[in-house]
Amino acid sequence: MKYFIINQVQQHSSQMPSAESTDKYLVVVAVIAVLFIGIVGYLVSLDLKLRKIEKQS
Amino acid sequence: MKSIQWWKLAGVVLVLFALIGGLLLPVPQLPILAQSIRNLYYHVPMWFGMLSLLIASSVYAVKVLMSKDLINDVYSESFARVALLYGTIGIVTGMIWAKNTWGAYWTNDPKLNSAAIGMLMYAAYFVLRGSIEDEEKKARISATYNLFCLPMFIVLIFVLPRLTASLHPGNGGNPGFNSYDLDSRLRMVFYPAVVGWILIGFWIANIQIRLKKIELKKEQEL
Repeated sequence: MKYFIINQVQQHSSQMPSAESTDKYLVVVAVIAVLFIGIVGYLVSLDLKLRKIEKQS
Repeated sequence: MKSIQWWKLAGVVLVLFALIGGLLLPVPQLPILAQSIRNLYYHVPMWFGMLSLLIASSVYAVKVLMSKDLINDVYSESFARVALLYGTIGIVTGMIWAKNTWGAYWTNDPKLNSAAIGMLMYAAYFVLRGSIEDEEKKARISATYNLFCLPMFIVLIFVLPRLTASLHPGNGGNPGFNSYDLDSRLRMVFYPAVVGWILIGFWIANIQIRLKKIELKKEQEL
């Protein structure tokens, strides 16, 4: 996977050719994905709590 | 996760794909824009999402005026609230893009100024709501204002920038992105991003609406 991404980045960008910068790039992608999953987790918990209250009342 | 509806899950999957694919999948090499073209997946879907939510808000504004059921006002307000959030994210992502391609966070571009005016119009909608105490009066007056806002917003965002010189693609005689993207690489991520963010927006509004419904029910019980 990592080599695929390095290859993609090298093919399509002249600004990020090194493996080190690709690692940093992957960290950014991972952080964004984790943040979004966190927001979704919060939305899911709110949704389920509301469902529980709706059933009770 | 069993009781989460399918469209909410679809929204999550599509946005997750757009977030990750938007950064990793190849993009066409365009002059000036270079890798910043990837912001197309984050900036433009916000405006699509905002417009969808504003249309939903207006539909419920019509329902407020046609019926005496105040629950329609809850729907209308919640959709407008999430739309304003999307608009704010759209402006911030646009400012970052502008700094990278045009050299400044804010330029005297008609589309930027129109977007700011449109956002202020909807901010005024919430100020108006906050200034009226009687619930029925608040619902009817704000619904009327909401119905004036939507056509004004559409004119400001889609019509006015096309009539004058603009830096934005597809406006003021500039070619749109579709003329650059001959191999549809952008579309593969862009369309899921648009649909995904719209669904997430409706989910957030849905949570707000249900919360307010419970609050109203409790108030009526007291």
